[in-house]
Amino acid sequence: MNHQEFSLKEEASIVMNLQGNTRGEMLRANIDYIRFREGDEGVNVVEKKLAEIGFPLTIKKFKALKWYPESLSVVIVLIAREVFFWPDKDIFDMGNSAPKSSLVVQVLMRHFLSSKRSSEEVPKYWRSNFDFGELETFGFDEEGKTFTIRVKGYKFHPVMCIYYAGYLLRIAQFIIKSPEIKIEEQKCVYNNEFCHEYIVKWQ
Amino acid sequence: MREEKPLELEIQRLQEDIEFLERYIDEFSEFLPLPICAVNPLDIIIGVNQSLQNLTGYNAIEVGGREVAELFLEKDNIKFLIGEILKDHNRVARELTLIAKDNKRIPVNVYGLARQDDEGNFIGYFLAISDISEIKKFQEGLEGRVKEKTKDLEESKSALMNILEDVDEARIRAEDEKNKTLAVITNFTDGLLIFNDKGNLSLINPQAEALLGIKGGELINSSISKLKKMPAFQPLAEVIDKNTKDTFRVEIKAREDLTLEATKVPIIREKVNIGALIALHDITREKMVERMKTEFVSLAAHQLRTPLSAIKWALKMLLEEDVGKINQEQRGFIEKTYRSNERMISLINDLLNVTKIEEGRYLSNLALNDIEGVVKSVMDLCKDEIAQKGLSVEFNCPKKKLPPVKIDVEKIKLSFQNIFNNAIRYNRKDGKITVSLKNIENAVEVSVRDTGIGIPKDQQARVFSKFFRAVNVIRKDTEGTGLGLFIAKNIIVSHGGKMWFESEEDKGSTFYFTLPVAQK
Repeated sequence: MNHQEFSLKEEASIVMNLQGNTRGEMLRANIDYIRFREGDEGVNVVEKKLAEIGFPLTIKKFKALKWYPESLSVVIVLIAREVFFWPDKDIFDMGNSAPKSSLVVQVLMRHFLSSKRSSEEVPKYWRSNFDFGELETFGFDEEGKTFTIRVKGYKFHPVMCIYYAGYLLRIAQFIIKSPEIKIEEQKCVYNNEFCHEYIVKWQ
Repeated sequence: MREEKPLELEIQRLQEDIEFLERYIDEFSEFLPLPICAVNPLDIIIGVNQSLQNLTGYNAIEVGGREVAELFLEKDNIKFLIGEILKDHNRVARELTLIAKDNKRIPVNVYGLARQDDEGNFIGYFLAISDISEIKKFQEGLEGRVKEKTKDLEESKSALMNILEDVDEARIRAEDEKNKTLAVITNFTDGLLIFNDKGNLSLINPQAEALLGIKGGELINSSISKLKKMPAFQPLAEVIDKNTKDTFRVEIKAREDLTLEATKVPIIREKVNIGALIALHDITREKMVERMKTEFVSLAAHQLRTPLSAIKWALKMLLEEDVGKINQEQRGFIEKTYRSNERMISLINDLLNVTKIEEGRYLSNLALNDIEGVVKSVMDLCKDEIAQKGLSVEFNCPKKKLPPVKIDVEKIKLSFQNIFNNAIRYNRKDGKITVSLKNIENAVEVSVRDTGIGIPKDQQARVFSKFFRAVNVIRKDTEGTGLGLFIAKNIIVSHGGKMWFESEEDKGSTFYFTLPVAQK
């Protein structure tokens, strides 16, 4: 799908038809980031834009543990990108910030015994936050300082590849102590591959 | 299906409970005034409450995911705190400096609490951060005040130390001075006795011990009354008893072979009498020399007077031509010789009077007399001389009869004559002499005022000394022994009277003397 060929409204309509739910805290995290970057006024702009494209919602009232359509989260990201002229880096940062205020992340931290062990717990995190798709980790190499994350069954919009790169990097940053951790999407469903595959590397 | 519904309901109920719990945690976290952050085992901040955001100025997004040490200035100390948290798995606290978003340094107390899972595994920790800026400010203020007070105290201490040093120096100086004074007193050639303000003997030097023939050490702190009872102190009784503000001097015969001049001086400090000093000067030798001298003069005068009297009568016979006629030239020579012989006799008489005065055997035949008569008789004797010099004499005497005085008439006559003769001899031609008598308290005062050459100011102090003659007198008159006023004053003083004078050069002099009225 070449998203640039569609208007925001058209894109939103397409995305909103896709199935799959996420926890309200994901939506809240996105709203928090918009507020952090653009202030309350920015949040109002997003809310207004949602209404304009046919989804009138009070986005400040999302509840952290309730299920909401993942498409709504994606549309909010798309609106932010358009109305605030955010480049990919900002989308990446938005995803990267999301786990910071996540109650689920904090709950999952109870499983922390080592970086490797925590990486093995990351799939649980996906399952706690999404009622669709699947996340798996493998190839944790302490010496090689790398491991791989695969996200299967997620195909909402290409912008989310960038968003989740940031998101998964933050998860990695929570479980690995290193001055520099990098993430790279090596495989993507939009390249006709069976999953999104991210390689995490650190120093 | 019947089983699914209760399960669904149960899930819904649990979800509601969790949502309630989440809201509760959110509200609690929002309300909690204490800044708190949750940190994972990798020391990465995974959650912060609103208070921490308020304190640091960081949004949760900015601070979440950062290594906790980044928030503090003392990286080593926060690591040490974390180490303690890990070690003790308990609450620990440490004072650190929080670095706020605006780079402001905030002093904080950081409390740490380790988190463990059910199996005791370490799963991170909480940090509670308490802003102690106000406490610090107060503490610094307090420290400042304490520092200030300490400085004040140190300055006071320093000042006190200086004072103490000064006092110590002063004490050393005083001791030094005291030692010097003691050395002076000890080595002084005269005997010295010092009495304190209570009248107790506080110091006696070796010379005083020797003069009085006592051991001073045993007598220190003895009272005057006790000392006076001791035979060695008997001669000093008069001196010891004398209470005077001025120096008091007296000659005492301590033993047959020892004459002392005792001087009592009050010791006064800041107008307060703090004791007295008695100095004993051995004048035995001086007295002996003086006596020998007086005896010699007396002997010589007696030996001279007889031949001089014989010469006088021989010359008189020659002048009266009892042994034959003499021509004018011869008369002139003999008259000159006669006058010189007269002066010689007068000098010898004066010397004899002086020796008698000095031997203390001058007064005799004390009897009640009328001073007016004595004075007039002398004035009568000098009538010719007064007339010869063209002087006028005024005599003032109160109408009421003067009380009698107990005197040796001949000596008082001699005394007045010496004064009156001076008034004639050193008066100007056609000058005036005023003799006045008056009754004063318990005495009769006699004064002789002349209009003569007066006594130069710089020589007035020596007027009553033996053989003294003022320069202007010597120029005017080469005669005179310089003994007249010495004899006159000694006679008056011997009678318990006083003698003094007032004089101005070229204007005249007034000589006064008093004689005590005889007690009935």
